[in-house]
Amino acid sequence: MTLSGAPSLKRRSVLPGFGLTLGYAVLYLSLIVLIPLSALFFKTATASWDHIGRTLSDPRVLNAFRLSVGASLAAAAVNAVFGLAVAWMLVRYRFPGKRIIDAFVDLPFALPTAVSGIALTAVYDQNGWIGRWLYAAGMPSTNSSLGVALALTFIGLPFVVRTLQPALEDLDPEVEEAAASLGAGRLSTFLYVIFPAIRPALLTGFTLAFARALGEYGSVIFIAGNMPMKTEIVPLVIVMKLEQYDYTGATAIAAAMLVLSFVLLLAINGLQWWTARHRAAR
Amino acid sequence: MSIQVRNITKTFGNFVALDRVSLDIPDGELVALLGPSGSGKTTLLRIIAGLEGFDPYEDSEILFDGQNVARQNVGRRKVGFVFQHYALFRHMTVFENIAFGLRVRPRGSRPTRSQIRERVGELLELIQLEGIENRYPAQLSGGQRQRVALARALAIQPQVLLLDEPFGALDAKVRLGLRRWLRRLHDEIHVTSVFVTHDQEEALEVADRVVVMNQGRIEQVGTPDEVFHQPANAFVMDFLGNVNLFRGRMEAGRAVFGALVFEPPPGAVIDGNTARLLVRPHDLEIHARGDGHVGLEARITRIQSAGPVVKIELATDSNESVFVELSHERFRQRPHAVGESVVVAPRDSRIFVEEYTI
Repeated sequence: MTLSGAPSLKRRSVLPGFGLTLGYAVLYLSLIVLIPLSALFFKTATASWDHIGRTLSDPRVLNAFRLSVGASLAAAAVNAVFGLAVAWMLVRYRFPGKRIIDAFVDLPFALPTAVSGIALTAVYDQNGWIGRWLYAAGMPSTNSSLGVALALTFIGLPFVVRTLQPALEDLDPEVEEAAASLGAGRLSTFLYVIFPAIRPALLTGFTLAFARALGEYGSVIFIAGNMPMKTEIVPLVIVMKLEQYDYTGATAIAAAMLVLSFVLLLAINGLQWWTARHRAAR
Repeated sequence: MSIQVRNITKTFGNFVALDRVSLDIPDGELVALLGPSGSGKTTLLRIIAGLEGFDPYEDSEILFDGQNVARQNVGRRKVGFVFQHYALFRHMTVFENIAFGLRVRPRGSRPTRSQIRERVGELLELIQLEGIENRYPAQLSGGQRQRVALARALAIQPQVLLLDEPFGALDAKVRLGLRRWLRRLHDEIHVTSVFVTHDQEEALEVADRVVVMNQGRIEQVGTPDEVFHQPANAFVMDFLGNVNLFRGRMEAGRAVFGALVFEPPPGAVIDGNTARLLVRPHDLEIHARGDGHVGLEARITRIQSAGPVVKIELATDSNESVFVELSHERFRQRPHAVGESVVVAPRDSRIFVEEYTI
């Protein structure tokens, strides 16, 4: 071990077990995540560039990408707003039935996605309880991109609420009192004092909801109608390619999806790192 | 601005935090609310600020310069409030923290950018932290954070400055420096200020006037000299420094504590009532046994001579502890040893007789 000079990896840490945990983490990540994902790229690499290019430039595939990313972003954005409202209500106020509402939030986690999809379709269909009003207002809520966004909003809500709750509970009431004593109204206090403090958690919730929505399959296919060029999502297109025994085409789309999600998530994480820069222990 | 508190009661469920408290704070004074935890001092401060409501009795009022402000919310009262744990905005720089109160003003009365810059500059100079305006609170020491919190409160030019245990979270050395600085600051800006503390030394050193509180009531209001030298009751005397307490009885119109007999304080006192003799450690003298001094017999159990005074602990025959402080000079002239049997006699003391037996 060197006493001076460049920092050494062998520097002793007070906490034991670094080697063990790192080794385990790498092994686990490799077995569960990295090896299956790299297999995807290996499989894609067996195809000719021409085949990959043709698959990805197919208008039907491009449309599916547009819908998947667009609807996922819209759903995550809606969840960020309403999830914040739900989390705020659950943390800030005491009211009868609060625990029940709190439990409801987790339902989208627990339900099999096909069940959610069928339930949503039943309610939002042309003859459904809510759907008939939406259809009457000229907004078809099934067999449309609105329907896709609806399903994705449903499954993403818990992510935003559950990441925001601890952040809201962590807020120091004295900070709000300080803002009030300095003459700030409720709106200014929220905008300048509370919101910046919960922004990282909100971004995390948004990211999780977005990532979840990108990969969602089960609930969407029931409500979307799966019309080519209109309401097909990327996972559905992949499944269709598989059914046609076009394995390389399927893996090419999957790999493209993976790269796209990775870039998007990286970008959001970068944003989060940027906003969290100044947060440190009190 | 003067503050008058009239008949304020505050209960939390069954707990009475304040019990019909009235208090006058003259304009420009620096007042300490002193008491043990749970005495209601912080609650009183928060009620003055408007951060807390009080029980709605008809005769309860909070007056600022004679104006009832009970219905005004905290933002309109123009009070500067400083919290024990600073409550700085963590995501804002020092500059933004101090400027906050100016920037959130409604558009009509908001100062211009250059006015804000100037005002923050003045305040940074006042708190002696020029050059750190672009740092974040996490990058400051505790003492610096508390000074920033003070500057933030002063930025809105408050009529009243309220400080809740402002030095409570700081270590002893910083605390001492900061409280002296607060005293000098107050001499400069003369804004009516109230601060809460449980540290009697802090209250006596900094304040113009000390309000001693206990169990939701005010026990005594007075200058530091008054509350220290003429405590109104046993609680005040006990709280403002270490005290030896001896219990005795009223017998034949005199207060009797073993071998010591005193004239009781004026007022109706009844034989058989409990009398309490309170003596500060530096007002006790130690004499050799059998040299004619009247006092309580005791045995020395511990001598600690490191420090500004020699602290001697004794045990009486009934095994009560007695603490005595002697000057080093006096100790050198007449040294004592652990285990020595002696007589302790008060040079100065106060006697409080309970009005009725329980």
